[in-house]
Amino acid sequence: MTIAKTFLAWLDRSQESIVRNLSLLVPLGGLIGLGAIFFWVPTDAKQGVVQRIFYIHVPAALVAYVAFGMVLLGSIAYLKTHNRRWDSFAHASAEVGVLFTGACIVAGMLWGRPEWGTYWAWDPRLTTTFVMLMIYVGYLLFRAMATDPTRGARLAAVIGIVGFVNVPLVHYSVDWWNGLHPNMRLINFNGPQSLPWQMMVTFAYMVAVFAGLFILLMMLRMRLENAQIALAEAEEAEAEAAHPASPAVRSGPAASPSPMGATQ
Amino acid sequence: MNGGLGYLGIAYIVVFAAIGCYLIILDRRQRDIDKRLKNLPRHDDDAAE
Amino acid sequence: MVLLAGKDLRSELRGREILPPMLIFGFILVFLFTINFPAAAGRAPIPPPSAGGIGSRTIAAAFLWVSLLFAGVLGFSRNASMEREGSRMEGLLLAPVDPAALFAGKALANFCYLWILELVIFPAFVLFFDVAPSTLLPGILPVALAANVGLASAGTLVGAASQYVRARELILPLLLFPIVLPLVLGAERLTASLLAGAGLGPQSQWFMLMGTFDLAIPAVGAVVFEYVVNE
Repeated sequence: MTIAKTFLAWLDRSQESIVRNLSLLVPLGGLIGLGAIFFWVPTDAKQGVVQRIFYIHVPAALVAYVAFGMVLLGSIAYLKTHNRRWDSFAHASAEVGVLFTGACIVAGMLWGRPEWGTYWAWDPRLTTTFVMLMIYVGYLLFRAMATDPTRGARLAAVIGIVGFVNVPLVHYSVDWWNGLHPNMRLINFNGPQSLPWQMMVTFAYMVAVFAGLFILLMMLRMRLENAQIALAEAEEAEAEAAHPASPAVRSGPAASPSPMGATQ
Repeated sequence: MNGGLGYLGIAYIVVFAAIGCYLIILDRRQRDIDKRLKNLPRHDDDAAE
Repeated sequence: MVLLAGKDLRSELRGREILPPMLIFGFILVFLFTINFPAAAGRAPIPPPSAGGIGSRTIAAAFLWVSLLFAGVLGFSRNASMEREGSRMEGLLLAPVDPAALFAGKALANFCYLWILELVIFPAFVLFFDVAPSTLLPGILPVALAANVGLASAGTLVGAASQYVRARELILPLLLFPIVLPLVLGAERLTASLLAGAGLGPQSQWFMLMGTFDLAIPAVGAVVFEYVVNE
């Protein structure tokens, strides 16, 4: 536990510098990645150029899984500790997760059209991924509509936990049923690899870039959330200072003009 | 080259545009809030958790 | 805990405001959905599969479960809002009621509602879609069981959570449908297989999925319910 505490303390201190460094590294890394994707990596023999979508489609999906896992983590932690930062963490993760899931689906659709002849098919992976998206969009909408922030946060945590039951379903659906979506194992631990090494390297690299992007987006989003909370509290303190006799409006940020966390 | 290149291009543009939009929205809202925090006459520093 | 669940159940069952609208709604839904099928669609020979075509029986199966889902949501919604009227929730919580038992009680009530709903909807379906009842029975019973357990649990949980939010009547289906989609999909696939005369065998892997859900959701729900109802 002390490791966790030291880590969190370090995180607090270096927040600004991390954001600054990532704001530089991630776009740079992304550009290098794009260069590799478009100019270095060999073209897939069967699928042609379109296959290059793979390098953003799959990393996006991986980040989305992680993000939703973080929602689960944050939700549980919030319910246990009542520390609002975990709630912010869950909220931010959900937003980023929805963003990346959406990106993954769109990229997949644009890959599917030339590859399979259709933008969409009701095959297991696509269906369950779409459902996953809907669950967390629902989560975000739920948060936006909560009337009491504390309660809303708590209920959202509940939804965040229940919703995650769906995620392993998404991933393993490809294994359980046969559908249109490819079933390949990317890394073959025994024997020859299915992909040429340049592809694997580029893929691994893009996963790293997307991971960095995820962290960056999370930190920016949480910074925004903290600022919103601070603003709401300051405005409330303001209101109470101006009218000391007013009934204790302890419903917090809901009373302030800036709705907490409403983003869509 | 078949239409594949077109789809490829659009896919990348859309994905990065989406990420970019999100970043822009985050940035705008951050600035907005920072401005409002600055403009509060009594800027209490004990508003932190 | 069982006692509490039982007591809760009985108080729910006395609620005559929940079942009649639910049943009527379900009945109407099935009617509306099947209205466009040609007469004796359920008895017509099954056409060979065509590319892109969906047999009318597959659609019919989907309609059956969608009707059940919508009507069920009506029930979940009203069940969940029962405690809000008259601040009964505070009263319940003042007594040393285990939230998990509360959850079990309400879920059990919803479970029963679903069965009663099916008692109405399945015959309506047989009637309007014109299938021989022997194609549905007895195969549909395990399907219904698998579906009902998960639907009731998830419906109770989401129903309770949505009570404290604006637009609660909208949020409940919005949140519930994606979460229970695997159940609805499974039920629908299994039913379609039944209607096609192939029995449950070809699609039996869905039972595994539904079964996993039926274990996971009530377990999660029982643990998490206290956070939903406590202040």
